[in-house]
Amino acid sequence: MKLTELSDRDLLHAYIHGDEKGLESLIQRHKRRIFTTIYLIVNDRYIAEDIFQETFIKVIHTMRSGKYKEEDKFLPWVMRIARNMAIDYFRKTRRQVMITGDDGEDLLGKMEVGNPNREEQIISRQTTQSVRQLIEMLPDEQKTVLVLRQYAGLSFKEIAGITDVSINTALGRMRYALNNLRKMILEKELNLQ
Amino acid sequence: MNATFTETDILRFIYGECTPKEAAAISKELQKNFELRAFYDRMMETRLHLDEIDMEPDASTIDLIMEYSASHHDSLEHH
Repeated sequence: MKLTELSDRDLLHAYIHGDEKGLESLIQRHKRRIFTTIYLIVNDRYIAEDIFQETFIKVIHTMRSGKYKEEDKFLPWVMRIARNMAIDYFRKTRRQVMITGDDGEDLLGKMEVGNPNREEQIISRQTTQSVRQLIEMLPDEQKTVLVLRQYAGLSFKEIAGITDVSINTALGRMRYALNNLRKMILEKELNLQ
Repeated sequence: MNATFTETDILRFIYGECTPKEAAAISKELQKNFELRAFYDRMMETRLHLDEIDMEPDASTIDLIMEYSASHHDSLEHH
């Protein structure tokens, strides 16, 4: 059986029993989701690469030390580690969360999509770039709530705590963020279907 | 109209932050309150776009992780 056909659990077992390919397959399988989340929280390509690496170093230590609990699903577990590291960075730097700002062109040049079809790759890149650019155009306080809720997975209560506002204010900002984003999407004539 | 719920309630509902009782009541409300339903549909549609952002780490980052794993294979092994 090919590694790509194995479940996360099987790959974990393979890795714990000494097969390095098990870990590599897990990383390849989940790297986009994990990295995208980290990047959108920290808004810095290099910091995101560092946090991605640190996340997996922690994963390696946990698995090799036998502390990994079987009942933990791999992706939610790794996402939790990655998210916490990214949020720690956010807290320490007290930066406003921004979606773009570093070398976006270079970033897009490195992006790949699963479908090998060239045309679909281009459309996917354009969509990603467009949505990121539109989020960047939101006022900072709306952008912060949007990213922390949508990508970091924090609750509105947690966001209220981090940004030092009431829950209702956080919710209100989210409502404005989504409404504004939608208006911009319509104006840009992106296909909403 | 009996406007029991607000748009921010719908947002909490969309993001899974309502109690089961609230969620059930909101689901029911969405079936009869077309204004709130339209808001719900708009927000859900916008969320789909947010999910379209897709990036990946540099290959060298993954290489470094794998090198770390290989080089610490013995020292990290549990008993």
